[in-house]
Amino acid sequence: MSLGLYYYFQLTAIFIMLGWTLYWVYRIGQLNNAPIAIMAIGAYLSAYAVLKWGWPFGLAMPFAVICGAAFALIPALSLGRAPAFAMVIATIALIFIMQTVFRNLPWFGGSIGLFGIPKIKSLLWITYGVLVFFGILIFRFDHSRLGRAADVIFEDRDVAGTLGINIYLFSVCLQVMTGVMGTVAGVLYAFTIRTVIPVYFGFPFLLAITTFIFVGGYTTMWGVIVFTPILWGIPIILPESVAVYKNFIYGILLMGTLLLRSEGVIDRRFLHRLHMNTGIMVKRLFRGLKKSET
Amino acid sequence: MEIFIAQLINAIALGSVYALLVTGFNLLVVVGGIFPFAYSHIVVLSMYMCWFAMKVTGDNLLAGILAGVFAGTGFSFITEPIFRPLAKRGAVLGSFIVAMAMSLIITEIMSQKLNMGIVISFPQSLQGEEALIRFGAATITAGQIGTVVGSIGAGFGFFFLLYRTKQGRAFRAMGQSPFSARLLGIPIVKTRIYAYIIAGLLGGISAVFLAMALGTASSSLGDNLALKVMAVAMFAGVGNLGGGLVAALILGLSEGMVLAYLPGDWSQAIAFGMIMVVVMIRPKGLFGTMA
Amino acid sequence: MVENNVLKVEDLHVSYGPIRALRGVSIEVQEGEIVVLIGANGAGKTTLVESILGITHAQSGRVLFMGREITHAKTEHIVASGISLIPEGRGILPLMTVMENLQLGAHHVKGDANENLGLIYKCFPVLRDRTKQMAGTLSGGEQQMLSIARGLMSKPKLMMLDEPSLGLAPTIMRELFKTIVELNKTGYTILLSEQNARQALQCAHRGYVFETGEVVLSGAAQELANNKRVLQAYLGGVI
Repeated sequence: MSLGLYYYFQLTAIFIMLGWTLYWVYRIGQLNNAPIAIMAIGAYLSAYAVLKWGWPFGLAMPFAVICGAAFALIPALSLGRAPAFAMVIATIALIFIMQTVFRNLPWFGGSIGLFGIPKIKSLLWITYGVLVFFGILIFRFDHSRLGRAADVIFEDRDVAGTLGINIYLFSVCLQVMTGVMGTVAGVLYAFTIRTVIPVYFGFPFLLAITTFIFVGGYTTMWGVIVFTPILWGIPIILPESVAVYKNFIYGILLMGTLLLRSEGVIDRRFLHRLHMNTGIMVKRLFRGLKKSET
Repeated sequence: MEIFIAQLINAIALGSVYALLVTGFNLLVVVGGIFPFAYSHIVVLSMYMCWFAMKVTGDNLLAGILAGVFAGTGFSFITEPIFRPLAKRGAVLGSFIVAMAMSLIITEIMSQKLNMGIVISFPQSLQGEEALIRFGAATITAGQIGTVVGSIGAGFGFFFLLYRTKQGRAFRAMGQSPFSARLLGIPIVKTRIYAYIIAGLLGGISAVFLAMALGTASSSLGDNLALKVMAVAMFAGVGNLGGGLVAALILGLSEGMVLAYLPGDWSQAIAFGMIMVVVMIRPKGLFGTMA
Repeated sequence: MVENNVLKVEDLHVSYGPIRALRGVSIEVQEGEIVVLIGANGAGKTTLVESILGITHAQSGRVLFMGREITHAKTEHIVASGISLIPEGRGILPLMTVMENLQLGAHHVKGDANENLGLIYKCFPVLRDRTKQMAGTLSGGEQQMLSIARGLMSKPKLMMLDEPSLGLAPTIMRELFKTIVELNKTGYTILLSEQNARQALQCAHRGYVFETGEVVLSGAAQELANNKRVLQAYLGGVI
């Protein structure tokens, strides 16, 4: 497999994972940008463990995940009950701080960062295995009592409270869960690109992921799956002179979508119609098969 | 000792500009009904306009000031129609994301097109070449005094507008209850536009003062300022104008003092600290929100 | 026929999405009248009043004020042309002073806003003593007075009151209806929407009975008060 294709598949998977982290917490109406910051922790710690302590990948990954989860818990405890805008601001601030911390602490190579991270065999399988695993988790969540509870919280928090839903606990759990996903994404990222520099985990990156989910459709996990490969794949094929405006285009797409088709391209009506049409097509197929039997 | 006083003056100047910024920000929140994350970026863009004007007019102070103020007002005015559908729906988080996108677009423009991404520095004339007061090794420049006095003046002007004029009443009414405001025949869209214009005006003035206080600007200043402005707003309680002033001064002072001992990067850490403190103890802000 | 109509609503249809709130409602208010709308919660009274003011969009039908069509006009213009709404729940601004609330009532008045102040203080002496007080600290009855006073500041040609007696103690309620009658005697045309059918019908000239978005009965207030259906549904049964 060519290197370019390898990167494309790897990074698509990683970005889908990150899109899902934003999607999952937004299910209860909160915009939590922490996974991008926690991604930095995952990337840096796993890279550091492998480079400076000589740990194998199999040890570095769980180590980073545990640290990431622990770190996700701390702000989660106070952000769980904060008003929505407080969480957005605090988590954006977290991104800036994380960048500053990693840029200034002596062990992580400053602005140059860590490089020369070893290649991991079958990383592609690991990545997609993890992706499918998380995908199944989210799918099961969406189609369970928890998913319905999340729907209620999103529509009307007070009603959710009267139904006995503990929004705070919900929020903390989701934040930690997505923190773990972010850490894993960070580890995979570090071992795909094989360098880790602070500039990666910053605001433009947050905006790119935000674009993927809000343009794709935030009411469903499929929006991210369909649109991430498109939205981040196209700039790669485009000539350099246009590709440089990538962030610009993301910004405009994001704004346009929110103003014109606020639920994103794949919104609930689309899914509903898709569902119905697929049902109709399947029925017709069955009838057609039956007819051919007689 | 004198150095301490000089730093203190600088910190006060910085704090007073933050106060102006927070006021404009809160106005957009309360009357505009949106979360104006891109406000600081518009201010920095205005700084660039001020710099540009001074460059083409051979360091003409008046040209720079006018350019900055008009740019701020104009840019803010242009963004109103973009946020209008979101404000109508009451989609605050949606407006936040749109503002985020806008801020990135502005940052990209600044880092790619304006001065080819190099940091701009403002001519000395803006900062007041002649030191007005000199004691020991410390000096206070005309720029710093101008900033403090100007900010106080602008602040007073704004509060006068808000509490003693018809339009100000309309602003406050809209902030407290858009429904009641509508019933009273207050033109909702027009009032919002006025709010954007005034916020832009405050932003433009802040841009000039920031140019005086900081001396330089870069494309990353937008994000930097946005974080601080939001930290102050959250600390005081979003929408709380009076509280915002106090919190802005606190931030300016602590930042000014910290900057003397730690690299500039860490000044953002204070803002972050303020945010986390508020979030953990009193999410509605120390002085409570307005509506 | 010479039209003395201050307000004429013709066959108004208003829907909130799939919910049809008003189905072909027609009412009219003549100058100098007190017209009352009675009906249960959710029957459409508030929807009608808000549609007249342009806050809610009508799907079809017409609203005519002083002979001019205002069906799709903007609220700010409708208010400026002389309709005041005293909304359900008072709608005063709690964080502003009594005086500021009153001044807001005259927001769109071009001339001297304070010329009506004298009359208003005569009607509501309580307010004169509390001009600098925060409106949120007033009692329920005082807030209602402030709300009405505010509506009067612009000398409206039509005053609409939506459930003004809600949440008021019985004695205050009686004062309220007395005030409404007095205002009417001074020349104000009033459209009143009330759940408290008994007192409302006592002070009104004519009335309309609303049920699920339609006008089911209309006529002189006295007749309605003696109508069996109305008695049973709203006035506690036939005596």
